[in-house]
Amino acid sequence: MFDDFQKILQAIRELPDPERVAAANTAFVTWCVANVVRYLVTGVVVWALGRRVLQAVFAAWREAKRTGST
Amino acid sequence: MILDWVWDNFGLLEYLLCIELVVLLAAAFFYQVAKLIARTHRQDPLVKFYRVFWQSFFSSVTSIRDLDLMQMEQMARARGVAMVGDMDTNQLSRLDAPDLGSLDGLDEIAKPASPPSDMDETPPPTAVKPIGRTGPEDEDRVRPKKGGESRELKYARLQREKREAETEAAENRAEASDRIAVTRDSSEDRNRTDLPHAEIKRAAVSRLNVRIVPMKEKDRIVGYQDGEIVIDVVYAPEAGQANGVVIDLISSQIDVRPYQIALIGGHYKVRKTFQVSGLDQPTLDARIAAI
Repeated sequence: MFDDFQKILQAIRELPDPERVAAANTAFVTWCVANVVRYLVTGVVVWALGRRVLQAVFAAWREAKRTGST
Repeated sequence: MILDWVWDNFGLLEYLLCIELVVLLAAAFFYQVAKLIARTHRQDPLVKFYRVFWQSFFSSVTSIRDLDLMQMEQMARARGVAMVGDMDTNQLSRLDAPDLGSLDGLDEIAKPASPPSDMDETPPPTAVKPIGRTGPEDEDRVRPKKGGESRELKYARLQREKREAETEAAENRAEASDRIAVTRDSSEDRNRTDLPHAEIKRAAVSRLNVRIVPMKEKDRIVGYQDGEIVIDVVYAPEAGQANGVVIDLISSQIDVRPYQIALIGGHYKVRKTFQVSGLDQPTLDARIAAI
C-alpha cells in the first residue's frame, strides 16, 4: 500500500491540468480512506476471530486431556 | 487467475483471515467425524475436543457472572473489606451461626429520640462492627425510621416472638417425652424428627481446607498436608473453573453427595474453604485421615 501511495502522489504532482489535479486528489483521498477502513475492519475481524479460535482450542484441549486421563 | 488476483490484492491480514477460516472449516469437518465416533464412543477425547471447541467458540469467553464476581471481590478488597476467604475459623463460625444476642433493647432503639434530660448521661459504648453478615443486630439495619416501627425492627420482633413460641413448644415436648419415655423404645426416638438430636444431625456441618495445584496432568487428590487437602487439577487458575471438579473429587473421596459440599471461601484462589453439610467435624477428619 505504501508503494502505491508514493506512486499516486508522484503521478498527481506530474499532472499539468489543475482541474485534473483536483479530481485526482479527491480520488486519492477516497482511495486512502477506503484502504484504511479495509485494514481496520480486517484487523478487528482477524483479532476477534483468532482470539476466539485460540481460546476454544485451548479449552477443548484441556477438557479432552482431562477426560482422557480420568 | 484467482491466484494472481489474490497475490496482487491480499495483504498479511487477509492471509491470516484465510488461515483462521481454514481452521474453522477443518474443525467443522472433524466435528462431523466426531459425531460419527460418538455413536459408539461417547467419551472419546476427539469427541470431547470438538464438542467443547464449538461450545467454547459460540459461548462467551468469560461469563458475565464470573466477571461480576471478580470485579466485586476486587472492589471490596480495594475498600478494605475482608472477604470470606481471608477469615479464620472463628470468623467463619460467626458467619454460620450469627450470635443475635439479646433483642430486648431493640424496642428501646425504636422509640423516637427524646431530648436528653441529664447532660452527664454516659454515652452508649461504641460497637465494633463485625465482619460479614451479622444478622438483625447490625445497627444499619435496625435504625428506626421516622413515624413508627421499621420493617427490620418488626422482623426482629416477630423473630423474637417466634423463638419464644418455639422455646415453649420445645419445653412442652420435653415434658411430654419425659412422661412417656418409659414406654417408648429408644430406636423409635432416633427416627423421630421433632426431637433435639435429630435437629443436631441435620445441622451438622464441617469445614475443609483445600489447596489446588493447577495445570497438572490429571485431576486427582494428592494427599493431606499441613491441615489441607492437596488436589491436582488440569484447569488453569482462571475464573474459578476448577471448583466443580474439586467438589466432585472431594465428594467421591469423603463419600458424600456433591450438593453437600459448598465453596465458601477462595473462589478464585488456590486455597479454598469448603463447607460439608451432613457431616460433623470429627467424622470428616476421620475420613480425611484415610486419604
